[in-house]
Amino acid sequence: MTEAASKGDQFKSGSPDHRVGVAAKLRNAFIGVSLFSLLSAVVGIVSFQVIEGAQDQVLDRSLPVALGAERVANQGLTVVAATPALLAAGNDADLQREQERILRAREDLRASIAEMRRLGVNSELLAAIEADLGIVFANLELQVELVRARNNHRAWIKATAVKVLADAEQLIETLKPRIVEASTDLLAKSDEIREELSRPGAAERQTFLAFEELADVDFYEVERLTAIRFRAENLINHVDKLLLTVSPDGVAAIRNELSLDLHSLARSALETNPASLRAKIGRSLQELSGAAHGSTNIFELKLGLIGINGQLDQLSAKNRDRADKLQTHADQLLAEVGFLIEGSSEQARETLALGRVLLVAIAAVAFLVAIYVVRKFVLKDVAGRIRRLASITRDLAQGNVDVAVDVSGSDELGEMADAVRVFKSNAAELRRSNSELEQFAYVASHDLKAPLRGVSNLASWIEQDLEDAMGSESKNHMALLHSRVKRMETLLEDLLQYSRVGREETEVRSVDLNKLVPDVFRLVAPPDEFRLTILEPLPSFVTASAPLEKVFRNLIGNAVKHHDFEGGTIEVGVRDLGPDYEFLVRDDGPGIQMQFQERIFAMFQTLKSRDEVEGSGMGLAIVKKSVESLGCAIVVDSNPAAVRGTTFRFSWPKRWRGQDFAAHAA
Amino acid sequence: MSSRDVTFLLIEDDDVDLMGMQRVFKQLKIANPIVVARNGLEGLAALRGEDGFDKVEKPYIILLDLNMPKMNGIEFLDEIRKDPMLRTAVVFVLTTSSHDQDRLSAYERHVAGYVVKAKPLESFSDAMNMIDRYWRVVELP
Repeated sequence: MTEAASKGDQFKSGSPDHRVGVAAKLRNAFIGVSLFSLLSAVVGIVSFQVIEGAQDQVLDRSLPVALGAERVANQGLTVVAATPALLAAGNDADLQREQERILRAREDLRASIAEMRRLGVNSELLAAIEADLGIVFANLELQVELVRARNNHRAWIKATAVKVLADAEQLIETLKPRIVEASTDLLAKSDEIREELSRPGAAERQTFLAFEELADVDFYEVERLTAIRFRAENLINHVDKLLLTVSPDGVAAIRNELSLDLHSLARSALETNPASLRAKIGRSLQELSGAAHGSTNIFELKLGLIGINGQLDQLSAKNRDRADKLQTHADQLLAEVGFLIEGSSEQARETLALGRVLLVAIAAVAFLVAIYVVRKFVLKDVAGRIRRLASITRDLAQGNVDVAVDVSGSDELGEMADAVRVFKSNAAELRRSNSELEQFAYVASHDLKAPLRGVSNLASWIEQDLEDAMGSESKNHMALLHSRVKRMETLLEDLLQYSRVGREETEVRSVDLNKLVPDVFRLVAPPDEFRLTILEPLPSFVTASAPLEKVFRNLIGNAVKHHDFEGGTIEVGVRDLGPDYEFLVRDDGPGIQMQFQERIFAMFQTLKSRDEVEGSGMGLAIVKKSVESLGCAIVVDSNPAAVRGTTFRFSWPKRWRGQDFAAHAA
Repeated sequence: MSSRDVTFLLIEDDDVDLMGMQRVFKQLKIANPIVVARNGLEGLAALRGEDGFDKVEKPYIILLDLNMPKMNGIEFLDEIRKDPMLRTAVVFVLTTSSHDQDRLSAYERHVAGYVVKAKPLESFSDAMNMIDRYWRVVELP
């Protein structure tokens, strides 16, 4: 044993390349893999941070710019859209309000544009938009002034118109009584005339003169007055029309007509009677003329107003155009900003893609490294060696002592390999010593038996040759000599058998005990005297027939040999123990006393002297060794003080193990 | 019926066994020439006429023990079965060994018979009786 141990020490150096235990290696591998996973996670997190940053940039910069551009455009358009309100401002208060609103809008827009500049938008479009807005506001300023002028003109026109109308009305009022008077005169005169005419014989001439007077003077007067009134009313119509006219041509036309009317009026007025009336008409005409032809005559005013309105409309149209341009520029700016945003998004997307690629790359590298680490350290190194060691120990267990223990290392596995080397050398040693023993037993039996045979032969010859001369005592001695020699041979044979138990090759086949046991019984027991009883059906199974038969032969043979009567009964039974059978062999002999029940299984032990019962004393020792070599057991059950009989119980495996072992034992 | 007497070549190392065999020969009145070799080597020498042995001439029958020093019975059998001059020899194994393996080995080398020497010499006597008849009936190579 110590030899084996020292041989084991010799192997203990192992290979010096790893100095780390198996557990440590596995732990390191695990840590390595975890670290790489962590690294992947970190890279992932960093990537996403970058992307987040990019997105923030989009939100912080680009969006405000887009919103700013949107706002500028909207504000610009709103200002332009509010022009009607401006144009509708009819008085200074309203105009003031509008002006203020426009100024406010301009300030807002200035601020918006400044903000966009601050955000870094330096596009030409922004300058263009600024220019557009500049023009718009310039136009609006002009429009404000124009509206102011327009309002003035309107006021003046209104005032003048009112005057003219008043004058005209006055004229009419002046004329009215006279017209009434003249009409009344006319009527009166006509009545007179009628009356006169109706009188017969009137002075025709007088009447005729009166009638002519009526026709010429009075009638004409009425007519003329009516005409003046008519013309005066016309003036009112003209003024009304003038107020409504929008085209300079219209104005010119009305002016002509009014002139004509005034002209007629003047002519008519010349012929009016009485003089006071003529004077009144004259004054009215003067006023009217002034209104119509004076320096700030109504027509000029009206033309001026038309001009102003025209300009206002022009400016409005310009502003609308400008507003369109502004919209276009704003759209372009928005598009530009949109590109910027897209650019930022694109950047972010690229970063994301890069991050993704990086992450995949890191993950792949981590995976590959993990695989490499696992393969090299765990699989190849640890698991590979474990597997090899398992294969080696399996081989050794199956009896292959030539297997190479080629596992090494200065970790636990290396130690195991060293231990296995020791086992292997022990196993080889054991095999060698077994085979030595076998050879020894073989040789011993032959070489020990040979002289015995010689002794026996010589004794026989002496007997034969000196038959006559030998006395009865000598003959007795010779007989004893023969029997002792035989005994020695038997002992040697049994010893040889004992040494062979469990190691010899045995035929493993299907054995039917219901046939084997009666056969064995017939072999060892005299048929007339002894009886065999089989208690229950015995099994038929696959096992090594020779050892089992030997056991039964020994037990049944002993039962017969040690019986104290001439005959008896031997019982054989069986019990199922799961992996084993338990057989019993019972006899009705004298039994075995308690104090000897252990001894009987020892070698060379007999309970009776060898002269009484011939036996080597090895039978039960052989049986016991046979049974125990299979991992089973044999017990004896006997109490001769109480009852006769002895029962031997022994177990036997259902499946023959040790087959592989026995096969390799030789 | 052979015209010449068969020579018995006894290859046996044990004195007492030899004595026993000779006693039996005497009892059975077998007068054939007998050559004794003490082991396999001597047996070969005798068959080949070497080492001071006169060559054993045909016809002969070999009575062979298995347990012998220097060259045991099985080894001897191997040798003669290899030798073209000797391979047809008729060999009876007379041995103490009842070992199945030995018996198998002997018959694998084409022995004519395998007799176990039990202690009572009756068995040897029976064997010799049989062999005595054998050579008279059978034609030997």
